[in-house]
Amino acid sequence: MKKLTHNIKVMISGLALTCVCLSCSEDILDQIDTNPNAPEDVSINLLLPQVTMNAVRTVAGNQTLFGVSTYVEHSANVRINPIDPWDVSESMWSSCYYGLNDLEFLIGKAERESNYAYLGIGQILYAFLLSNLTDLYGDVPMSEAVKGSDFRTPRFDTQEAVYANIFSLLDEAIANLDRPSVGNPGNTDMIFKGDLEMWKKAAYGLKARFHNRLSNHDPESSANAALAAISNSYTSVSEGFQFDGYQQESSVYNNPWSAFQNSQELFAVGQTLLDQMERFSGDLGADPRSDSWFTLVDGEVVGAPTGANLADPSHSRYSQPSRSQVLFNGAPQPLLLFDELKFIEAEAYFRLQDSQNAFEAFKSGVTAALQKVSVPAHEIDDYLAGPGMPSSADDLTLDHIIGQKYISFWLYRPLEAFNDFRRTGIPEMNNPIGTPLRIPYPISEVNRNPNTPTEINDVTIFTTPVWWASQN
Amino acid sequence: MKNKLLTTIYMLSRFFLYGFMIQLLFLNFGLAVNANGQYKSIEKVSIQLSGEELTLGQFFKEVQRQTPFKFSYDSRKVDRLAPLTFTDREGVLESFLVQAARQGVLSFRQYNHSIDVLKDDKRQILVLQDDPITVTGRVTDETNEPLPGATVSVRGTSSGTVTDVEGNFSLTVEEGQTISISFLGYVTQTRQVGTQTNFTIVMVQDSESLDEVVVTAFGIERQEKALSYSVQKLDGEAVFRVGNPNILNGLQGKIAGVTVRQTTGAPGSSPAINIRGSRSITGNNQPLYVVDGLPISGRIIDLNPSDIETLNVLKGPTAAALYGLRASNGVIVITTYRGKSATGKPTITVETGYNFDQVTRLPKLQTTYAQGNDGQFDQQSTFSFGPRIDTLGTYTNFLGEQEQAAVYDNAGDFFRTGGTRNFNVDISNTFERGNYQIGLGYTGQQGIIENSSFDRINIKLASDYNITDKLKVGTSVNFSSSDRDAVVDGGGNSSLFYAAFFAPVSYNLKGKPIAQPDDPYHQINFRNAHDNIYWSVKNNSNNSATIRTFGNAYLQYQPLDWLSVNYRVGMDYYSTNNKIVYALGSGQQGGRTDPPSGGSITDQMIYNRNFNSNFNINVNKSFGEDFQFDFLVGNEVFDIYSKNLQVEGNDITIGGFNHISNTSSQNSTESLQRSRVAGFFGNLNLAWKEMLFLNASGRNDFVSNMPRGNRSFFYPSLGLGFAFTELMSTAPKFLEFGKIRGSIAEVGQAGPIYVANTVFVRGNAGGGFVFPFDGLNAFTRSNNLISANLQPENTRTTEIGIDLRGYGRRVGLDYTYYTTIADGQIFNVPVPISTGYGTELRNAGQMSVKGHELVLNLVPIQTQNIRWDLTTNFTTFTNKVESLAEGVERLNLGGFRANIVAEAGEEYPYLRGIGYARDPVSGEVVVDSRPTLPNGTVNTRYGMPLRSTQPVNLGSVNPDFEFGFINQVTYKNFTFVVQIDWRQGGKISSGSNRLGKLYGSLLETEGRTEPYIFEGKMGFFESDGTLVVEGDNSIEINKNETFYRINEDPIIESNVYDASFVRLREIRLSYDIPDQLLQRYNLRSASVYLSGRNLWLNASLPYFDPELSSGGGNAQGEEYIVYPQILSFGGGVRVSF
Repeated sequence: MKKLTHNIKVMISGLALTCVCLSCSEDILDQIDTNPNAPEDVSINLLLPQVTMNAVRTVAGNQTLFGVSTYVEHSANVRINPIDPWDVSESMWSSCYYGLNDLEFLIGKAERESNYAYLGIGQILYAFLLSNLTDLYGDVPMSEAVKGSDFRTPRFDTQEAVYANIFSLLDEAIANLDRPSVGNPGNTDMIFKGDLEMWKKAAYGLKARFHNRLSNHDPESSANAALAAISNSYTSVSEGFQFDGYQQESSVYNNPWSAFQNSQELFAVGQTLLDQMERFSGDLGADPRSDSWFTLVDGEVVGAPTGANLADPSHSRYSQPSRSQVLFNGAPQPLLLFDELKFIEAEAYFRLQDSQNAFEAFKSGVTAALQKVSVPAHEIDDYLAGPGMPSSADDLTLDHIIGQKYISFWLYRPLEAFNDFRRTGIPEMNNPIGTPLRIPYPISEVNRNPNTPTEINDVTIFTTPVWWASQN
Repeated sequence: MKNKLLTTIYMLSRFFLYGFMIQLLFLNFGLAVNANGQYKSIEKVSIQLSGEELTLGQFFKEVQRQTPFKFSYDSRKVDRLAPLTFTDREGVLESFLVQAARQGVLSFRQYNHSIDVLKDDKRQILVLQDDPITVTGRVTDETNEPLPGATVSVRGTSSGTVTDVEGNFSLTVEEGQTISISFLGYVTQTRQVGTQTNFTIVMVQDSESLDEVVVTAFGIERQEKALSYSVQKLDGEAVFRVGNPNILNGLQGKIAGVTVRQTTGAPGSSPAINIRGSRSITGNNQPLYVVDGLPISGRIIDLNPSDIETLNVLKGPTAAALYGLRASNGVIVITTYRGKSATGKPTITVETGYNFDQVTRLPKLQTTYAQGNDGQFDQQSTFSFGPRIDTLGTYTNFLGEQEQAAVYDNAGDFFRTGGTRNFNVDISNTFERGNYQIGLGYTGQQGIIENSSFDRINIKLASDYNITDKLKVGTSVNFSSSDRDAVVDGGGNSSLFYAAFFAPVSYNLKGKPIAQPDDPYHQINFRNAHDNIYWSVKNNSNNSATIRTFGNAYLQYQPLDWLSVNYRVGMDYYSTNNKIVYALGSGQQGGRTDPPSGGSITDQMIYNRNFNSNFNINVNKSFGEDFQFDFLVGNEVFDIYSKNLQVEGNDITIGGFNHISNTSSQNSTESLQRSRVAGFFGNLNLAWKEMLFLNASGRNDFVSNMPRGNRSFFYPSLGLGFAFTELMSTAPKFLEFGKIRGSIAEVGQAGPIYVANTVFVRGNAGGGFVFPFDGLNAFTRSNNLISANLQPENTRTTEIGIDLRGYGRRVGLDYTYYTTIADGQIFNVPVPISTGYGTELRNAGQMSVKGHELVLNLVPIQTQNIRWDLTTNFTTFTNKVESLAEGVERLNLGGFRANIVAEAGEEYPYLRGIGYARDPVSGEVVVDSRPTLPNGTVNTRYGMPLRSTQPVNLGSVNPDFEFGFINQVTYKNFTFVVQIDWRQGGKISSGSNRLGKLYGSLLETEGRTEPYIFEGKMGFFESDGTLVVEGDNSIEINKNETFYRINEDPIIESNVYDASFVRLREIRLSYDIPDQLLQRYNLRSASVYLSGRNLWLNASLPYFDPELSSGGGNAQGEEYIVYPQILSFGGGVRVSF
């Protein structure tokens, strides 16, 4: 028994000693604390698909943009819960800044590795996200943004400064895309499969869009710059900056706008859109798009009044976007298409008082818009001769250009329709409580960043335009 | 606060007075009357035994059957299984008694027809006179003060009395009988009645009863009076009294300072528990659980409540400091049964019970209006704002049938009566060198919704063995297997309860088919996109199966009386498999298309392993008469390894084949978690003269989950107790024992695991869109930034208390005041998203808790037959965020409608959201006074309340105070227990009431056409946001769809309610089978009981249970139509043999 006791004594001391020595050396604790679940560094070809899909997502069914779609009265909210204009989601803000954070990393790494193809694409997407932010919010953090704990409360840059940066990013991107690059993104490029020419055209197209955006401040040079950019961009309706990888048979890899409707039944067709369409074709039925675009209620297309928040979850009162032709799971998400360029061209010429070129561009724009939705050629001709259409260059007004653009932006590009509306006041909106001129800064930013401008609130969003929308 | 306390004390003292009055009443019943008559003598009665070899019990039984004599004895002392051998089978009773006395080491005394059996070696057979004698006496305490209310009873009979105010008593007895004098807190005394018939009895305080032992850290047992901090102890029986399947439910209301909230009524659900409020703003606020000396992971649902012998709650860090960083939220120390036996033979206890479970509350719905909006009938609408049902007549429903408009009880149809079964067997014994105990348990619960259930099997084995006199080993091993079917309540389109409660009453939910006849996945429902709830219950599933084994082994070596060396090693291992299926065609992901699409399968395996090693050396020595010294030093290592593998498949191809291979896209995740803590600790206890108690401890932890260099930290604690009544030579009756105590302690928490660097995580594009996609993989930077210089957070607690007992321990009061400051909180501090991140993990912020706890133990009635114990637990605390990170105004902890937030300078947490616009002068609600809007359109909200321009504070979710009243009344063999819980104050944001109003379903929306004028002011907002108030409101409106849906619904305040309630938490009536019956069936003990839980609720919140909460973790205060609370009633039997 004594021996046993002794053995046990030895055992206890041994165990205790082992535990003490083994359990807490710094090296062992380091090893335990090494995160096996997530890498600390990744290569840029693993970042590109992420930043691309992120950029697409900022304009594809982003919750914020559903709000914008109701602002421009493309759509009316008919889901159970009312959505007030000041209650739009923060998702645009977070998507953009999280995307910029990845892009910041990608751009730095691509530059160090002389991977100019990735660098150029990264800069284009960076400029695109910045434009989404500033167009919706006005002044936004940029120079101190996405720097982590270096700037815990980034200051807000003026929209003018943001736009200057957007232009220089796009110019750099174009230059970089021309430089010899270590690698080509190939299949990791989810938009153009590594076709850098198409990316360059995207950069020029965006430049055209953004120059034209400054029409209120410098009508002439903004028009010239836009025209110069357009000449380097897409040349036919078959080219365009668009993601077409969404899957029809999937409930998670589907176009988020469609996913919205599948699960929330929130879209109804806005009456203002129908009014615009009727204005050009005289009768809604004469617009070749209306048959395929809208569902019928008791045999008719019925638009929903905006701002009323009338619930219609069964779509038995108001028309909804067609689930087979428009709002389907596999629907592509446009970022910038040929028809938009043509409308920009028309507007730029119009501003330069070159009405003939403006009229030609306008007709090309309308044609492209109809071709995009597979309207046969003879119907396009009929439509162009419609009662509300300008019959000659002299007839053409800005109202026509922006009005047609407004229709072609339905349903997937409400943000551009909103930008045009704020810049030109076209078309006239009908929401009884008014149309906001921007969206309020996200509550999270207001709460966490004392640099957030305080003059923008639920009330002043209706009266305070962003810089480029102002008249001087 | 002070007033509240005074009110309470006043109230409780009233109870005490009532108690005395009731006691006087019961006295009359307590006095039993002796029957006189002709008694037979043991010398004259002949009996015939069935055999020569009998057990004592059989012998008693046969005698009782053949003669009028009844035996009476203490079944704990007299072993009825003792074998007897008799020389003859026939003879006079006396001769048999003589033989039995000799062999059983017993004495028998006959009075009348009663034979008293005593365990003594005199082995006498006495026959006593049956002439009654009146004995009188006076009972006093040691100071010669009379003791009123002391029980005087005649041994072996049911007669007795209590002393009067002067301590005097008078009682009729027979010569030779023994009277026993008892009083709670005093040693019971006996006197035999011989020639002396007048007694003066001086009662001596029972020092034993003051020395109740509690188990503190590492299984160390301490006398309660030596503690310098507050602990509260529960017997296992109190936890399991009404058949709660989860230990935590059994704690509700029973311990001051401990808040247990049932979050849903679903079978197998675990409530949330907080001890003394919250210390961590966003981190863990759950206590540490220690079972038989082994810390285990927090899945308490795996434990069988019936295995628990005692449960101690170490509330503050002072008590828990020895456990180090895991103990900052308190410790629940559970001790399970060990082997026991009174007789050397195995004791087998079998217990079984059944409870019926029902839904506690259902909302009252309006029954006038049909499905639809704006007065129009719409068979696909969510709303009940349609036409009057009585005007609808017969219509063609969407199935093409002619249907007569009617009213249906959809909620009543949906919920059923469920039930809970418990079955437990306990086998235990002691033998020369040790003991063993085996526990087997089964719990099965059928939920109040079809296909929701919980089943658990527990097996437990505990054993101790003395290898030598100095060396002892032991083990405790627990195995559990549980299987839970939860209803699939996915929220959104797959929410069950939206429809269960609020489906339009004009729609016959149960009576209509759930799917098209040709396709069982093509649903039929009254609501587009949403799952039909009957379809969902049938086709969607959520199963969780857990196998768990935990246990420990210890070795105790005690070479000297005062020295012991202990080592305990334990493992806790479980694996859980969760499988959640949204069937093909489920609305969850928009699958209610034609043909049906979508559906998803999530299969998750979790492995979790905790390892714990504890080594310590304990020195326990007295120095002279006055000093007691107890010193402990040791080491603990704690290691967690957990792995989580999950595969999620989307878009089911073949309906009903719920296998991952049957999905068109899959993605999988893997997460491995490891952390380790090594700690060294020392603990010193010094006691002087049973009067002064000093406790000091220190612990140094090394943790893996901190950056290198910041891994080591030290926590001290110091406490002092002073039993001031020891100073008095004679303690007054109202204060026989008094102690003041104070302590101060620090403990901390480390950060979450893996805090070395900011990382990249799997790429995604919102919604379900995750990479890999189409053969491409992608990563994105984590939104969570990690600070380079993390320090452990620190919790400092100061606690003072007083412990008073008097009136022979019939009054006991334990009061504690504590303050806790948790500093340098490690949490994901929200940063502006423009930084590129959502949060940064760093030290920031300070949180405080200040609270009072009061435990009042009263014995208002104590007579021979009746005893009423009343325990009152009172808790109040203020939980405040002292500061947050610089630049962070407030933190959003969660919440769906209201934000549940933490804000510097405010109570933690509080509800925040849009409120009613209020007149700054009167505070009254202001309604919109503009018939037309500035742009000329008609104002549809004319006369309806305006909303505040900014979110406002809608109130703290914490109650003002909580009471638990536990009454236990014992009358003879009956025991009646009633527990009433009262919670006062605090707010709750009620999603259920919100939806009921929004949909036009709740009863209060019935009066939608009646004119209504809001009480308050009227006015409007100028375009710059200034509120113009124009005087008292006189605008008549209808509370119609526009009112409920457009105007009220966005105003969060309209659905914030007071969360107060009074609840009949537990009730139990049990009956212990009397000894005579037990003898007949050879049982040690047996009882039957009836019990109920949540039988009655009075709450300020309409229709739903304010205790329920949707938020997990720290986001308490919002309820969003969860599985409803249940009430249970039933009964059971417990037999020991």
